[in-house]
Amino acid sequence: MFYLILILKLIIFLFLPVYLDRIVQSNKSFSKLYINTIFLLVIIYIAFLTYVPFTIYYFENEVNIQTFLPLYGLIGIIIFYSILPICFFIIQIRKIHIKSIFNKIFKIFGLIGLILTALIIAGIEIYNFRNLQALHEICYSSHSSSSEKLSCCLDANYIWKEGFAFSKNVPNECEKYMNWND
Amino acid sequence: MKYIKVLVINLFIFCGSYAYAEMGFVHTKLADKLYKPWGIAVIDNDHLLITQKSGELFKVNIRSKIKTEILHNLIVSEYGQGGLLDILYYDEKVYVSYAEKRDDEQYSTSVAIGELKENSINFKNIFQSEPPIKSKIHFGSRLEVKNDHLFITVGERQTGKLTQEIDNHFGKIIRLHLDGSVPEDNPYVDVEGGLNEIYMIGLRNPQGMALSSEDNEIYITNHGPKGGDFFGKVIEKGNYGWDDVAWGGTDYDGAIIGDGSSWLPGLVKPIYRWIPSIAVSDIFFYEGDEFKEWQGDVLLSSLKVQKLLKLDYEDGKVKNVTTLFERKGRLRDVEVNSLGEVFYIIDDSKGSLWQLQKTN
Repeated sequence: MFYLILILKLIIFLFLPVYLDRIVQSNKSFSKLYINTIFLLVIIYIAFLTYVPFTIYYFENEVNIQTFLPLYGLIGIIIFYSILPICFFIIQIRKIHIKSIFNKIFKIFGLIGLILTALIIAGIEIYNFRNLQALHEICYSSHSSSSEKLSCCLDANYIWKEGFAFSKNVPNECEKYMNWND
Repeated sequence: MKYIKVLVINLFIFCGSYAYAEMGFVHTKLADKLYKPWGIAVIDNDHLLITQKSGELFKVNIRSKIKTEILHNLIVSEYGQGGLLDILYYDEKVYVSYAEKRDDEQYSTSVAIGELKENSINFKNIFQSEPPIKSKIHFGSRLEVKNDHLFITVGERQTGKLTQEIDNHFGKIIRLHLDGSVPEDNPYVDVEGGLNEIYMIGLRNPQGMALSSEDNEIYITNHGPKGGDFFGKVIEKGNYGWDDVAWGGTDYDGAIIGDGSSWLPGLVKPIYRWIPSIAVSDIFFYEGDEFKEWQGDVLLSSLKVQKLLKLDYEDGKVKNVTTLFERKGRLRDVEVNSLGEVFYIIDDSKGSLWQLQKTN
């Protein structure tokens, strides 16, 4: 199921520029600028999803993510996410008066960028899913004495062999299982 | 009514007042314009020493609020989580821990000793963690004295499994004589391949340490990864198990650590754990007259949740945890002088030193 949803997500992502372009072609009431702005926002959102949470973690915890990701890596990410929308902006505006060779180069870069981004998204999601699977296996092996406890464990944000915990707001029915400090 | 109270407090702050009241406490600002302050040491009932991560050292008169820079000979600069870190004043000597640049980008947690003379200190090194490595995080670095022995916490510096080896200082508690020499009764002195300074192993980033006068034992706080912060006792030759266990936490990416156990036979069990993490910082066993009802309780500062907590610690168990107050800032260190006056620092590029008092 997870992989099915992931494939659907990636298909939607990969065909988003084409779909947006078709809308523009078939419905003149949508301006290209409007469509491209939406696409730009989507790209910024993806950049936010992949990088910004790590920097937030740095401020909240004692983790300096900048040490894991060297400066040139950070610069690379910023350039990558800056170039990508620009490439697509140029692809979208077909009537732009530039030499065809540059047009082709921009399109190729755009496509490569799109495919790379899709691969990054797929990689992160698969990795996270596998991590979660390992934790859920602990739920089934160590916290399945009742269906209620198992359900609490599967919903928990922190899972270990002797207990589980939630990031915030412990559900009422799960509170009785949260005595791991006693 | 609540909004009026908030308005009055904000007006006080806006008008440049150095104190505000909240939840039965008065917070009095003793020093500001501190750049990432890290450690406080009590010289006497009128004076404190404060370290800045960038290398500066200050003496603060808590009565006059005058801050004086102490000149010293250590070459320290901020390096990731490293810099000039903890400070301890004991028997008229000043001990500091810091991230020392040993070779090209190779740093260690080091400790130096000096004597405060006319607002200057000439430090000399008494400990260098081995080996120095290129890692900007997890220096540990708290200092404490028990029975004329100096205890030092050293972080794991992202080395993981090496904390389980005794041929290095990563993730260890170090025990030395006050002059830096190694006590002959340290647990790994006669162990082949073991470093003589090691007293305890298996920690991740212990950033809090205090001596309890009730049982004369040393206690620490340790940062878990994503979850698994803990408060625990320092046990000779003990092993807290990093990174075979993560005390209930996972890696930051959600990956399981070890086999998912929070404890394994043979390991020392933490006394109290926080899952999710609160980013535990320093601790202090309260004694004094200012807050008589807190005798023997543990004051614990937190970076992530930005609170000062009080742990009701009795018979080896934490019976209750109370939030004393919450501030907008990372509470790095908490110290108490012999009068029982409580001081804390907010670690920020615009950091500050505060005194906590009761409202009348």
